[in-house]
Amino acid sequence: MGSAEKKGMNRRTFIKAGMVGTATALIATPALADTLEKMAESERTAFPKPVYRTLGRTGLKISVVSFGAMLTPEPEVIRAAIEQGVNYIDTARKYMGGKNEEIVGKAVEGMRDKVFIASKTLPESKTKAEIIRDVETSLKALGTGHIDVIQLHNVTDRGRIFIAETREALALLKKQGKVRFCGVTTHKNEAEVLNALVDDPDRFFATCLVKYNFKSDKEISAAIDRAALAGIGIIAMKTQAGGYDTTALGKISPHQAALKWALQNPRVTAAIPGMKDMTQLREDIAVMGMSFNYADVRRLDRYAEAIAPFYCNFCGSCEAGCTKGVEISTVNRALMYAEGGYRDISLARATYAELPRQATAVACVDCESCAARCVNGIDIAAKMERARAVLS
Amino acid sequence: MNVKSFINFSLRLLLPALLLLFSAPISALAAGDMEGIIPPLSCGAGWKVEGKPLFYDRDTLSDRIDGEAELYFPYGFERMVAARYASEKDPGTGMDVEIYRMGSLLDAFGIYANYRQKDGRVFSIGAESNLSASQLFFYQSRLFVHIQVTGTDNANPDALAECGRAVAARMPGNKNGPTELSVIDRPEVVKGTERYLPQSLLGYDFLNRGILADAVVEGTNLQIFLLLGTTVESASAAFDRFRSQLAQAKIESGGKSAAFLEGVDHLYGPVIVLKKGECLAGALKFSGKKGIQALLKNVCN
Repeated sequence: MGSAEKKGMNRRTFIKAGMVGTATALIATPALADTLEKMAESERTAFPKPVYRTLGRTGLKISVVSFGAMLTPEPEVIRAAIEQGVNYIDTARKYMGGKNEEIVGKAVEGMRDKVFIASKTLPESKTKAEIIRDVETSLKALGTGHIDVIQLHNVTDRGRIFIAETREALALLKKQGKVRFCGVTTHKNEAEVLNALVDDPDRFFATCLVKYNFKSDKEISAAIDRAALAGIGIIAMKTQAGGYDTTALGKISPHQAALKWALQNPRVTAAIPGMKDMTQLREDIAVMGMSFNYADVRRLDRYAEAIAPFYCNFCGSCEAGCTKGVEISTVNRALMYAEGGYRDISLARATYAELPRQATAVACVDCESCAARCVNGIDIAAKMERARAVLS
Repeated sequence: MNVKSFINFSLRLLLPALLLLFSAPISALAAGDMEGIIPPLSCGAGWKVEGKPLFYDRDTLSDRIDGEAELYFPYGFERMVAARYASEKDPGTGMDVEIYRMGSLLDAFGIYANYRQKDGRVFSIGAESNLSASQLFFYQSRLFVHIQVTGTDNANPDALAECGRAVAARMPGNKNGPTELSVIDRPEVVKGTERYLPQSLLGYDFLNRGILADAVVEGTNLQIFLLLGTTVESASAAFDRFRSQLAQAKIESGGKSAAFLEGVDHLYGPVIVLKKGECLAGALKFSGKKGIQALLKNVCN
């Protein structure tokens, strides 16, 4: 039984309340809701004093809330962050076809000495020539003589960490003073990648930008611990656990709580939330110096509950237990499009229609009970029933 | 079973079947449309298709393009199809074609404008195209296309253009740009600098959805913006919110139901904003004010 049901709501009522209700409807008592709303408001006031931590063995002291520039079209917003003490900006050669680096370059004009710049080579670049070309192009776009941290973009397995030609190029760039430190980024098989960085006898890479949020499993936390203890600087990305519309939660924004959750781990040096506008900047920077407290636990509980009926990792491990061959993860994804933050019924139906009929939830009507089990506790039979009602 | 029961029973059986019959092809057609745009065998002479097209949706797009996927979502991203073509001459060199279906023509333009390179060359491919050393971007209808050569430092722009033309020829729709841009289609506005932001224009969440462009007025460089989808009430609300954050804010009449706001913004310095009925337009990053009010009036007319 899910936690929503424990509190006396059935699943359907909960969806309704969770997605269209007010904050008060979601919180167990109105008094608590009021308190949380007031706290949420008070936390969105002035910019705080910045807080810095050391990025592993690089020794760089960077702001715990740093800047993911990918979604920021206006350099002025990045400049405003730098003026408030944010001193680490993350971009990539790939973002906007290279244009994002130009935006960062404009933002740091005249302030280069106040900020560390991290960029990434193209995900497909592996050879010496490709890596050197990427870095040289980045330097030009950024309008700078050096990049503080250059990262291999989107590493998904240990193999890429040990490519000799890649390392040769990076070592040369370091020797030339064009690059200060090397790192990797990963948001798939994160534990494998982190462990490979530690297992590397040369300790070639000094930082890891890793997907890490309150939904991350223990294996990733353990790998982060191990890597941090080995001197690898850990920076968290995707701290918001992704893509769900939380406006229905009212003033009880989970964003600050999610950011605080990631930063409460002392092994994590910083997080790089993407900040599109001044409101997001203000909200994220305000987290510096705040501690993760009971109210945050409640906020994340509520957020997790709100997304729980929809939050399927799409790992597909449940499908092994289904005797009818239903593609449960795809059905769940289609249902998420219909009922999650996306609210896109046409996309949901198009996704569902791509499944062969025998792999849809229609096949479930032949079973008296569901043999498939979700490792995260999602009620698969209920989800399939819902999918038949909404998508068939 | 009497006749009435038989008809009822038949309808109960037939109706769902008919619904399924009519709904499934529509969805399938949507997916098929995207696949049909990919040139099936080659993309220009000497570039042969490699493997099958790959499809991505909102949930899987980041598998392909990492966190950059988040840039696409506010523009109504629905689906992407990707195909790779291998060079027959140079083993290891490939051309990756990615076609994104966005929410609307304006959305497709908006995402395109995010990628448009200042020093890129313009070709007559799609509604507008931009070609750099190893990449081609263009949009047409609701579709945004990105073609990139990988595996070589000497990409041939002609090959990119040829592949782009092959893709464009298979795309639906005409080569018209979004009508929303016609408002700023003026001699003062610098062509090729127009952008569409679906949220947080200028980095302010109260300026939701709008277009931005560079302009030159009386020899002065500046930037103009125009909010889209506004009502009289929402334009007034944005105007008031803007005023509340400006230093030295002052308001003067701009004629019937129009008002000019001038002040100093902490991000951009001096700004001038015009509210006229449901129109809200503004100018910033200027060194002289001459001619700006007239330009904004023309934009709002």
